[in-house]
Amino acid sequence: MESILKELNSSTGAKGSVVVTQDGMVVAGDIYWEVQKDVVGALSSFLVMATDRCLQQGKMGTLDRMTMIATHGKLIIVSLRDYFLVVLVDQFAAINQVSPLIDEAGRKLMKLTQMKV
Amino acid sequence: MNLIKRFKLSRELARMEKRAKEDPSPSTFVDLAQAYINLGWIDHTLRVAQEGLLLFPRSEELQKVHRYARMNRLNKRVTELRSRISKHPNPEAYHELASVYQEMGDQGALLNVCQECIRRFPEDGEAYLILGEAEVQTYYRGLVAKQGRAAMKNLRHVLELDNKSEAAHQQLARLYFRIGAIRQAKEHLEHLARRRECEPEFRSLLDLANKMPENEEDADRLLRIVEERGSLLNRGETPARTNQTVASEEAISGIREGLSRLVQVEGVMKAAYIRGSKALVKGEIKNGRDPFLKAIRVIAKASQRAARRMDLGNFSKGIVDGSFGHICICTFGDVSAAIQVREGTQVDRLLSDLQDLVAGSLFMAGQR
Repeated sequence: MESILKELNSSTGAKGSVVVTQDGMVVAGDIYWEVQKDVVGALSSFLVMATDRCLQQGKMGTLDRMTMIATHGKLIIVSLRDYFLVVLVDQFAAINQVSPLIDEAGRKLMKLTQMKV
Repeated sequence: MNLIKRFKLSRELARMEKRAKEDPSPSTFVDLAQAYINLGWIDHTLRVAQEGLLLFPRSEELQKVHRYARMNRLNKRVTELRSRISKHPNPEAYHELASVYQEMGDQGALLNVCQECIRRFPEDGEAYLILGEAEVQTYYRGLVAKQGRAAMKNLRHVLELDNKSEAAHQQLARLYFRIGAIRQAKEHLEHLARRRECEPEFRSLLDLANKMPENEEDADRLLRIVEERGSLLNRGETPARTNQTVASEEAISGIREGLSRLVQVEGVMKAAYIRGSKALVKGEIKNGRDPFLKAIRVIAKASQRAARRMDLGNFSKGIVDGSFGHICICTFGDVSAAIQVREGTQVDRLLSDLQDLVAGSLFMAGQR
């Protein structure tokens, strides 16, 4: 998992990326930034849970992906069913350029997180 | 480059310059700027981009070229200053380097430069001031108590080195006032008011502060309260601005028109503008209990909190994709505008329209 995240970071120029469970536990991460993996994991989980809960309560559907743009950076969260991939990029990154690479990494991670019986 | 090549090049550039003037369009300016980029003539690139933006201020291509040229020129200046510092380190070069980083919006590098300058020149009050000012701005964006404390410490240090520093008194007066530390704010405001050329903003703040009860809490505790609350206790309005009406009839009709335009775009199902507990809606929204409105409030609030805690600054825009299509949100302060669109709809343009709607509504409210 970490090698996929490393490759994703180098190809997108991301500040870091982590795979997080729905309750905020970091499964794998490659982040070279002042914010710790656990903090990113916990806050992403809070964001996803809050959004997902209100969407489901309103019978609107489920969350697949979320892009958050802030003054100093962008956060992209992709749902991997039981997990989600969180990618942090800087404020100048073009979302439409990094999105296909994130989707590709998401597909690879999804294969890894699925259990084969 | 030999003489013939140079002649051909200057003729071609003159032709392109003429074309841009005779037949102005974003693409003619972008082509000309691209030619200058290829030649590495950044100053000319910047000039062409600026001229183009005067005529076509909304052209995204020209904005990109302008940003590229500007950043390139600033990077060049950084390299020059870095080499000057490595040869002959002096506080002035550090100050200039810090101001270049500030222009580039690179807050991390700005803080590092100031800290480096302070390590080498511990008596340089200007470096503490630049550092303090940068930290104050960072604090206002995220309202993280730790950053507010650091800013206060550095600004107070400036005053220890030079008690007459007007800039440090101004920053501290604003900061203390905004977090609700009225007693401390008054100390600096009174100092500023004693000066003959005191700015009206500080006289007004002093008048306001004199009417307010003095808070017994210390500044450190107030910083923590502000962090927990997520907003400043006083926003620093001057008396002239406190009488503003927030949403005039004109502003509301402007917002309604903006929402109507958005729902006319193919694929857009719902559009809403929310300020506090009030909402203006258009499209397939039956009433105020529509789950879309609740979703906007929850997403905007959760995103704002997550962005601040991750030190990403203020949340401004967001896109949520799912089985419902896409929800696009644009937020500024307590104002949010959002749309819900069908799957497959291009959202980039709509997101910038939402941003215009929010900015326009705040501008109109500010004019009142």
